[in-house]
Amino acid sequence: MRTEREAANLELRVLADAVLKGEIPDLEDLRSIESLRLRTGHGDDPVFFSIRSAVSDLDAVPSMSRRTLYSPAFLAESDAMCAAYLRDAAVDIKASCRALLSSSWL
Amino acid sequence: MDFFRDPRGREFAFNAFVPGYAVYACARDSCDGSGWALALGSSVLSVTPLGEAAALSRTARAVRVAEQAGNEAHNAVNALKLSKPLASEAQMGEKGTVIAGEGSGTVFRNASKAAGDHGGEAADWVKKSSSSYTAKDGRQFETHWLENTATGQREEFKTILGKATE
Repeated sequence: MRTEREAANLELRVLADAVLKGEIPDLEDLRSIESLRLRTGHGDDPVFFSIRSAVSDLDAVPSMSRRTLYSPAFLAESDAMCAAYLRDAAVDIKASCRALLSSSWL
Repeated sequence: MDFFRDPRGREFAFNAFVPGYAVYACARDSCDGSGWALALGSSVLSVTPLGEAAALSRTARAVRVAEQAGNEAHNAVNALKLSKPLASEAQMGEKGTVIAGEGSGTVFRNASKAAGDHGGEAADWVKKSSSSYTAKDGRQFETHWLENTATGQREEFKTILGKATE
């Protein structure tokens, strides 16, 4: 039976792989990585910095489960801002994911 | 900001105030008397002596005091409610870790906006994070803020909630 830490590490690998396969990182994947980070026992590792920063900078972007609560105009503006940010940050975030996958502790 | 004077004549500043609640308990840090926490019906009023800057250690003690106060506050739910706002306040007093901007290896992409909103040079602004706090219900959270490394100015504090651990 897996420990919580092992399960979090496994999930992190899957998410980091998904980010590397996409052209532009998906914010929901980054948010999932962020929520798993502290369960790994290595949450303060600098390898997470670019992801932590992106999730923090984009925290006003509604999550998928709450999008119905917002107006189409707001969502369009928010989505455009988010896409521009993630396009610009993609290189850094993918570098973090590569570093994460090669971490000795993962 | 509101102030009050304690029986020994010292002035204290209210960091937060929730009107309409009865005071459940009043606890004083027995170490040096500098940290106070008043536990209210469903929130916490933390009190900081004027003219003292050691926010981190004092507030960390205040968290412990609030937890003790919570034990006197009849049930575990109140203790939980007491510890979170004070932990958040303690995080705001930390030095913090740069997670974006100079020294982090990560570009701070909102640096220009920070400079536009708060002044200074974009290159001086960084994003910082506090340590993580895990409450007794398993909920984890951090505090993030923007900081001007040239002046020490801090802006835009926000709480980042994580998922509850089991």
